[in-house]
Order: sequence, then structure tokens, then C-alpha cells
Amino acid sequence: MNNMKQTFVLTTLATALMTVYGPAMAADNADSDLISKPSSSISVGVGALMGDDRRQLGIVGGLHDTGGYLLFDADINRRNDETGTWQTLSIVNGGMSSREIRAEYQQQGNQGVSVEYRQSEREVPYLINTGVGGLGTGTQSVTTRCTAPGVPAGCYAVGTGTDFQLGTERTKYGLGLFKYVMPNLKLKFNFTNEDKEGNRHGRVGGQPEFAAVPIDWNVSQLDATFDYVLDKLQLSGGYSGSWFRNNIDLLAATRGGTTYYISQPLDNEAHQLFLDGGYNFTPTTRGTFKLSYTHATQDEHIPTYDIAAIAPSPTAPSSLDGEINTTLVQLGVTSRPMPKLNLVANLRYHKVDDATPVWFVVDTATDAHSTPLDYETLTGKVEGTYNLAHGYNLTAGIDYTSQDRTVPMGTTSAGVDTERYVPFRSQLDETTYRIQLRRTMSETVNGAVAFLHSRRDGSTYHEATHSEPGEGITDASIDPINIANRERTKVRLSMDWLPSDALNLQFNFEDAQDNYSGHTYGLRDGTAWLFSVDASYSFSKDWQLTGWYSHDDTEAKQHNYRYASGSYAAAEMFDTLEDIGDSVGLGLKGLLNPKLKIGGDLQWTRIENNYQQDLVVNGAGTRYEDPAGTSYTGPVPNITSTTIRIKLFAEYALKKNADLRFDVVHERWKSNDWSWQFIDGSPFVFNDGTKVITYPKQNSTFISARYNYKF
Amino acid sequence: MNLRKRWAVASSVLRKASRWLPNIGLIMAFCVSATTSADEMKVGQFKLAKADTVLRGDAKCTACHDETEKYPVLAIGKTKHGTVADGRTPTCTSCHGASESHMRKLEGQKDRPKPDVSYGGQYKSVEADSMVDRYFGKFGKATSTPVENRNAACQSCHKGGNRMHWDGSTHANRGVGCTNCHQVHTAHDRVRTRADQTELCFSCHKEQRAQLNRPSHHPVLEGKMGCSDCHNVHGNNPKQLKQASINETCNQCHMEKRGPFLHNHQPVTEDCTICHSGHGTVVFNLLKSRPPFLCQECHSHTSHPSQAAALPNEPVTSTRMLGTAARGCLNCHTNIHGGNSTQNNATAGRFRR
Repeated sequence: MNNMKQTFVLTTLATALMTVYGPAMAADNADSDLISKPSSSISVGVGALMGDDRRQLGIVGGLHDTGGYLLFDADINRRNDETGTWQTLSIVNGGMSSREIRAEYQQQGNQGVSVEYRQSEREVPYLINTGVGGLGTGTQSVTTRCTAPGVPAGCYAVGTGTDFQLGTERTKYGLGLFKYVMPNLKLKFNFTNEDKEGNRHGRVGGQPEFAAVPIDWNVSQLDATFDYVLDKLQLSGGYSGSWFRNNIDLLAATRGGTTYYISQPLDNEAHQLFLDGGYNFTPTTRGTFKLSYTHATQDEHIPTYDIAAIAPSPTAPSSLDGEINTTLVQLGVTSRPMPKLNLVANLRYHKVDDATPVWFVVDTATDAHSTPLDYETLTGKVEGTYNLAHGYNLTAGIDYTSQDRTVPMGTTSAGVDTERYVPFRSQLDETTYRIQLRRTMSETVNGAVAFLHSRRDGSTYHEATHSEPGEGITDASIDPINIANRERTKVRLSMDWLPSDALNLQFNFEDAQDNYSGHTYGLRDGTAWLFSVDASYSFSKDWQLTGWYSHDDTEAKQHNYRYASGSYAAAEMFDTLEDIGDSVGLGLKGLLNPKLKIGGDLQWTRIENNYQQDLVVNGAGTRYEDPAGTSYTGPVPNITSTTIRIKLFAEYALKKNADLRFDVVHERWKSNDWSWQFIDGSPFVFNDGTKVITYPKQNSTFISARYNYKF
Repeated sequence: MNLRKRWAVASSVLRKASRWLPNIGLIMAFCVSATTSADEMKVGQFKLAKADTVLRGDAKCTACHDETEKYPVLAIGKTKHGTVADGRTPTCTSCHGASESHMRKLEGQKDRPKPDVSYGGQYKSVEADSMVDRYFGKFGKATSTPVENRNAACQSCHKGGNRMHWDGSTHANRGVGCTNCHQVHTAHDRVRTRADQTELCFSCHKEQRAQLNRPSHHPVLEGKMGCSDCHNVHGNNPKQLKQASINETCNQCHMEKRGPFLHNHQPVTEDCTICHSGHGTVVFNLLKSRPPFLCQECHSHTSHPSQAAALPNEPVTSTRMLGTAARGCLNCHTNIHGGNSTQNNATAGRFRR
């Protein structure tokens, strides 16, 4: 009876509305299509960047130099409802050098084809002024810096060269195809081809002198895969190939009549076969597997092999015959043996087998063999989640990782490798325990507390020449960071709270402690913690205020030994490196009237890098190098970098499907980073006279106006 | 008067009228039914059933739910889910259940029962096209539907390909639901767009938000990369990476560092993140620490590698004074990712040639 009453009321309402407003609704069919049919939009406008070039904040993204910009974006979506055929076109940043274009034609559930074009630029935030010749090519000539005007003869005076911008540009094309050959079998084919061109920072050799490494690379990727999906069984497999091609495989830089040859990455390629699968044994138990085998090679002719001036040792190869075979086998099971308990277990075997021959490359007083390296890693994981009462979930798990690593062995003396510079371990083991309590069923309060503890250790260290005082592994040896004994403890708390429909709050706290042990030197302790709060408040349906604050602090303590060298004394070095980050964000948006939406956004970020260096001098000599005429001053200063970004927008609706949008973005960047400076703050100059010009401040404003049209 | 106001006024008038004069409604209904197609109205059965609006069989839902509702639904018609010609696409009830109790609110019930499966708890975010920075995230109200049930509706179709290992993933085992990140009833599911997805990811991953605001970072905030370029959030690889290992993931874009090289640098072959932090750092090229501190985490070699960090006051040639300024140790060891020189000189093995 109650149901009848309810239905009757609804029927009455609907019927009356149909009677009264039917014509009006019919007239609004176009609006209805806008709501429920694929829609499109085009945005056209102009913008201008004023003030400073965005050298730091515009490294990537295409909005770098001051001047005018054409703004053009499009999102075209068309669907034939009868056939389910889509035609889409997406253009992002169409008027800029970071443009992305993608077009697709597909009949949903049957077949499709897509093409893609992507472009991106990256410019380093500093400028080079140099006399080096041949920039951008594989043959460059390096100047001799004038130590006094005209001295030595034919020298290069600092600052009189040409300005040169280091940077790269990527251009990528892609083609994608798919076809359902059966309802449950989908074939996919993807091919991408990317060119990367430009110049990156390099050096000559012998002495720290500038050279620009020319980049003329090509990367292509081909994936041919199938997805087979049944109710209980799913399989996915195929082939994946990738090729790297370098068109400038050697940099020759001449200085003072001597040519230095800087080797470059050589062509390489990889071919992978893979098969993934999953099977539901029961509605609550599922098994999965992954199998893959990758064969990667690098067998290009080595350019330096043919250069008489740097004749190789008789045992050096003309090509590496490099070969790396990687095998992955993974088995997993997830199960819910009882309604409140979820279990996950995984066993993973990953082996990187470097089958490259060992070559005796350098047979001078300091020998050097090539060093193919193998890694065989076995990982096991067991984790369970139990649903407690009141919406609480308790998760506990253990991960275990065991890794066998080859120890590269070159020339030996009394059983000790005299080539290697760093102690090595052939076995690493790490066990991680995790537990988490979370509440996810509440409508208004959700949170989690997680605790993680891991311990890593391994086999006995193999000593390395030169790296141990007196050689041999003693207490006074270094623990390389990647193989050192380590205990790690992490705590993470998070809470999301909706005290009212209008107010949302989110709190996060994370703390991590690393403790390294074993010997005396290397990274000893690491800590990191982060606190953040996010909030949003809706004043009304039309006005919303958002804000967030984040503070993080990361600290690393190192203990190293400085050997006496030159004028400086042996010393124990205790370094404490700390990064402190603070960020604040604040935003407001709303409707001034039904046609005018406005908003503003402020972000302030401050990053501080503190360098605390304590040198305890042990023996005769100076604290820092102190040759005649040159000072070398430490400790290094702290660095502070600040970013302020203010964004304002206004959007005025011209009609239902068209609006005008105005944006203003003002940015300020400031940093006292000394990376490219001498101790007095003057620009860093390489020994050849190349000067590096940095821009410690950036004040820029971008304004734009757009017309947005939806259809 | 716009359509919404008209609806409100009509509702109010008719609700009152129906209390006092129920037969008027019945009479009106019969009158209208004579001019309305049978699939739109079956008043004789006292059952509201107009024509489907977007999905197959959605009439009983869209009779109440439309774009004026608190949870607008019709935009699903803009999406792949709304392509009715594709027979695999869902109906309302295939995701939300038959929801009989929701449809028939009983007398005396204060609130209408929720559908059998409801999907609250979206990690809502400020829209990037309105609020310019992509950093903010928050939870909406959660739902009482267990996450397994919510995800089951999606997984009934989306269970192959990249989602095959979802059940074993960290996200799945931390109670993340598909609709915590994905929006279904919208034309633009933001998490599927490279430039927008960080809005959702930052809802939980605050550490990564802080790192990506460092001066040296991958171009994620700039929209040229997305989290999903490196991570398969549906998978169960370590760190939910797209590829089987960190190096294989990095090599997708940095293939020149894949090698193998004649002179390999051991940590490069093992794990890029020994030296780099993929999300962002304060040091150039996403280095975790500044040379020489970074290099001295492994190297305590005699002579210049053990130098204390300091800055010179003029151009120098001594390697004992060049481990800090400019590119630090990399001023000379420029091929730090590996070298291919056969030059019969020790410097070749030290990545200087």
C-alpha cells in the first residue's frame, strides 16, 4: 500500500509535468544533448609573458621566454550512437612548443586507430657564455683562458664569447591500433618514435673545461599485445621492443693541440616477450602470474677503437658484444578464506643476467676490466587484512627480499681486486614488517595509522683497493649506501574529517628513520618527517575556499674520512645535510553573478638546504685546500629558494556554451644557490674561460584572454 | 522561470493536491496516457517508466535522477560507458544493484534507503581549470558499501590487461576503491588525463606533492608527465611501477642510460634511485644530494674523492677543489652513467672519457 502511494504521487507529478512542461522540455533537447551526449570544446586566445624569462619556473612546459603566445586547445568528441563509433581530436597547448595532438577513430568494442604527436622542450636555467667552437657538433675546439689581457697569446677573454643555451627538445609520434578479433580477445599495436635533439652539459677531459655534448638521439618503441578475458581466466601477453639510436656517438674536443675523446652512449635495443595471467579459482580466491624474458644488446662498433692517437690495449674490444638477459617469474594469490579476512601472497623472481664478455680494457699501471653485473632477486610477500568491528581494518604483512649480486673481479693481488674502488657484497637480505590500522567505513571520519620496520644486511664485504685506510675491510671502512646494513622505521598517520557538509579537513603525518651500521664511514643516519593539512570550506553552493600547508624536514648524517692530499690535512668529516620545505596554498573561487565566475590562488614555497660540516683535522695541513693564490673556502653556505605564485582568473559566460576567460599569473622565484658561483658570488668560470650566468631572481607575469566554446 | 523552478513549483502544488484530491492525479494520468506512448507511461500499473534517457533500462532511475540532483548522473552518456551501441556497456543496476528498497521508500522511513551499491568517498579535488594549481585533494563522504562490493562492479568488466593484478596491489589492499579515483558520471574523468591526475594522487601522497614542488623535478606539475607515466596504480609491481623494475621504468624515457657500457657504474645498473629521487629534489638532475656529499656515500677513496665540500674563488684546475662547485664531481666524471671508451687510460674506467 505504501509503495502504491509513493508510486502514485510520483506518477502524478511526472504526468502533470509532462503536460505542463513537455513542450518546454522538447525545446530544450539541445541542452539535453549537451548534458548526456559527447560534447566538444575549443579554446582560442592569446597570452603574453612579461617581466623576466621563466628560466627556473619554465624549464619545461613551453612557456619560457617573454613575449606573446597563441593559446589554442581543442577537445572534439563525436559519437555515432547507432554504431558506437567515436571520432576524437585532442589538442593541448596547440600554440606552444609543448603541444600535444591526439586523434582517434574507433568503433567501441570492435576496432580503432589513433595517432599522436607530442613535443616538449627543456632548457637549463642558466646561460653559457663561451668561446668554445663547434658547439652542437661532435667536433669542438676549446679555448685557452686569458690569465691576463692577451696572456697567453691567442687566449680567450672571459665573457667575450657567444651566449649559448643548453637544452633539449623531444618530438614524438605515435600510432596505435586495436582490434577485437573475438569478443574476448583484443589485439593491440602501439608504435612510438621520438627524436631528442639539443645540447647538454659536458666536459673536455683532462681538465674541467666546458664542452656541450650534442644530442641527436632517436628512440622507438613497439608493443604488440593481446588481452584475452574470460569470466575466470585473463591472459595478457605479447612482444615489446625498444631501440635507442645515437647519431653522434663520439665527442672530440681539441684543446692546446691535444684532442680529447669523450665516448657517448651507443645504440642499444631490447626485446621482451611477456605473459601475464589471472585465474579465479573460486569467487574468493584468485591466482596470478607474470612471466617475461628480455634480451637487450649493445654491440655497436666502438668509435674510439679506431683512433690511433688513443690506441686501445691489445685486449680491448672493437665492439662490446653487450648482452643482458632479464627474467621475471612472479606467482601470486589473493584469497578471502573467511568474510572478514583478506590474504595476499606473492613470490617473485627477477634476474638480470649480464652476459657481456669481460674485457681487459686498460692495461696501464692502473688496470681496468669491463664490469658486467648480475642481480638475482627473490622476493616474497605475505599480507593479511582483517575487518574488525566498527569499520576498522587491521593489515599486517611481511616482505622478504634476498639478492645475489656478482662481484666484478678484475686484476687481483693476494686475492684482492685491485681495480674496484668501493667495497662490495655478494648477498643482500632485507625483511620488512608492516602493520596498519585504518578506518574506512565512516561517512565523515576516516583515518589510518601505519607502522613499518625493515632490516637489511648481507654477506661479508669484499674489500676494494684504495677505499680502506690501510686496505682490507676494517672497522674504518665505508658502507656504501646501497648495500649498507640498514634499519628503517616508518610511521604514517592520516585522517580525513568532514565536520560538516561545508568543511573538509585532511591531516597527514609521516616520519621515517634510517639507521646505517656496520663500519665507520658512509651515511650513518637519515630522518624524514612531513606534516600537512588540507582544508576546504564551502561558503555556499557558489563559493569555495581551499587551503593547504605542508612542512617537511629531511636530514642525513654522513661520516667520512678525508685523506691528506695537497695542502690539506687528513680529517674526520661529520656532515649533516638538511632539507626543509614549507608550502602554503590558498585558493578562493566563486560566482559573482550567474554569468561571472572568479577565482584566485596563492602558493608560497620555501626550500632551505642546510649544510653543517664539521672537520676534525687529524695531522698536519690545512682544513681546506690552500694553494698559493687560490682560496678554497668551506663549509659551503646554506641555500634558500622561494617561490611565490599568484593566479587570478575571471570567466564570463557570453551564453550557455561560450565564455570568455581572463588569467593573470604572477610568479616570483628567488634563490641563493651557489652551484654556479665562486665563493664571492661571482659567476663560475671554467678553466677554458666559459662563464656560467645564473639568474637568482625571476619576476614574471603572464596574462591571457581566451574564448571558450562548447558544442 | 527556469525549468528547475518550474519543477519545484509544480512539485509543491501537486504534492499538496495529491494529498487532498488523489483522484485528480489519477484522472490526469489516464488522460495523458491516451496521448503518450506506452513505453513512457504505464499508469495502469502505477509504475513510473518513461523512455530510457541515456543507458539501457535507466528509466526507473532517471525518473528521479538527472542533472539537478545532488549527484548528477546523465553525463555518463558522454562517456564510453554511455555508448549503448556497445553491448558490453553497463546499465544503472549493473553497477548500483537492483536497489528495490531505494526505489520504494516505505512510509515512516525518514531517509530513503541508499542503492544496493553506492560509491561515495571520491577523492574530490579542486578543478584545475578553475583553480590553477593541481595540488589539492580531500575526501568526500564515504559510503557504507564495502569496497570489495564497489570494486566488484567495476571488475566484472575491467579485469584484464593492466588491471589483472589489481587484487594483489597495494592500493587494493589499503581499501582504495575504483571510484575513489575514477569518476564515472562525468565526461572528463580527471584521473585519466596526464595533466590532471595529480589532483587525485596528491589526495593521499603528500610526500610526493612536497617533492614535486622542489626546484628539480620531473615535469608533472607542468602537465608534461603524469603519475601514470611511471606508475601502474592498478598493478602489483614494486612501488606499483609500470615496468618490472625501477631501471626498466626510467629507461622508457632515458634509454641512453640503459647500456650495457664498456665501463659500467655499478649503482646505475642496480637502481637509479640510489642517486636520484624521481619526484623531485633540491639538486640539479633530481640528485638526492649534492656532490661531493652524494658521491661520498660510497666513495672514500684516497686523494681528491674524499675532499671536503667547499667553493673556490677563481677558475681552478685542481680536482681537489672542483668536487663542489658547478657540477661537482661530475665536472670531470661526466660519463657517470657509463662510458664506452677503449682509451688505454685509467680515466676511461673512471667515467672521464
